[in-house]
Amino acid sequence: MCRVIRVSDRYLEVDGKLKIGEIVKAGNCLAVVVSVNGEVPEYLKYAGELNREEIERYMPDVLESRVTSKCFILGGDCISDIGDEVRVADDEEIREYHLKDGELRIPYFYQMLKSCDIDVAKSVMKRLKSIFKNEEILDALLREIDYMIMNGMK
Amino acid sequence: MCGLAGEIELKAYGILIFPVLKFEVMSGEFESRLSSPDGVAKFRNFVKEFESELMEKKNVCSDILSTIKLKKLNVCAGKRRWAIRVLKGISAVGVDGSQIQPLREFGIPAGAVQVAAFRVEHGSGNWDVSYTSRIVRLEENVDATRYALEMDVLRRNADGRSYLFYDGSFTPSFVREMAREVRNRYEKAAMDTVKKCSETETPLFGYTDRSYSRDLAKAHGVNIYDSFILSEMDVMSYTEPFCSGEICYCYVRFSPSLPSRVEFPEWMRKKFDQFIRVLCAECMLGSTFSYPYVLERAHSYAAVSERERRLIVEAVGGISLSFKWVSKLW
Repeated sequence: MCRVIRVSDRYLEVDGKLKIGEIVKAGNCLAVVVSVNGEVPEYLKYAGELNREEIERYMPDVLESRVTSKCFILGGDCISDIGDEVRVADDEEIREYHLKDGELRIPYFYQMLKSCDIDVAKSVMKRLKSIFKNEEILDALLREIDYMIMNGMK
Repeated sequence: MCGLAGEIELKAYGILIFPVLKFEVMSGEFESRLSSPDGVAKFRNFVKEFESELMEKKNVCSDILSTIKLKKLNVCAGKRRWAIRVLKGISAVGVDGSQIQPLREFGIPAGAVQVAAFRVEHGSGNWDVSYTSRIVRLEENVDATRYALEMDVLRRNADGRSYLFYDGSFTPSFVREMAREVRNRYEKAAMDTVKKCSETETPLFGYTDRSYSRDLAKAHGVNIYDSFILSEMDVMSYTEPFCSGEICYCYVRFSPSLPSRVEFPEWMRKKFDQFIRVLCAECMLGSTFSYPYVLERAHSYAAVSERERRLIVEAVGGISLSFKWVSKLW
């Protein structure tokens, strides 16, 4: 189980490894995983005459290195606190989050493009498209993202 | 062959270093430059007198050391490989705590203690770490609360099977200076733990890496640290156990640094050499070879990092209580 270990205006930091581009729920916030960072494993401090298998059997915890995931918060009116459990958001939660008066809204889109890797933004749009299948605006946004990727390659 | 060797006699030799010994040879002030003939002469006399005092202390220490029975562990060249042979199938638990004092500057009128119990079953690779934390009210003694919680966690792990390691003493000398109520709290927590471990025959070690105890010294009528008296012990050797009531202690030296103090319940005396062998093996797994691995790990899990402190201050400080107002309540 992953938990929130740090919160700022735009980002959450989570203790544990999550998949980049995945939409997760923490508190009542939805966020997308933008990066995963690992620390140098501690066993290097103890390495010497013992091989990896022996370390695993006698000093098992030193093999584990701490991994944290950074998540970009989708939207501004939500609350997430340190210690909140973090899990992959289900379709219903994503649907509810993006609907207002029956209409699809993506208020974070511009900020997400500005702040996140383009592949992360594409992953979010693809997930939305899988939920809001008939929304043509999502096709247009995905095409726009593809264009930006191609443009970047050029 | 690895294992326990017979009792050996250790000779005191070399130069003893007493970095914190007080010496009373204080020459007065003088009104000239240090580099003047007068200044240099005074300097030379001072060093000579210090040296002779040092020699005197060295002789005292050698005399005391010669009366103490020492044993030596025969550890093969591959210290860690020897250690895993000794520890195979042994379950070890290291307990250590950390604390946050009430943060006056942020208006947070409470402290907190966090105790980590790190358990590892050597050989099988099973391990876990569990935490016990407590918020401490402003009027409570944070240190005493931490100690009581650490002792409580040790008791909970006294299962008659695991080897328990604690980073500290069961007879902390600093409590003698404290108010009776606080002192009783320390003593009761320690005694309850020693009793529980004795009843369940759970091996328990209180390990003090850098001890300032003077028990041996006092017994010989001198006022210096035990670890300095024993500073000429061979590496990989340990003293005989000394007991006072239900708690015994000995000194071990597993690295070139000064000997460490180890406290344990009296019942462990009957298999003392066997227990010291396990303790030594735990130290050989540690990153410095002079501190038990399980304690090293417990310490790293228990620590409240600066980053965590900042997070707590950010999260709790927002309540913004007036410390001045709160402090008037008691």
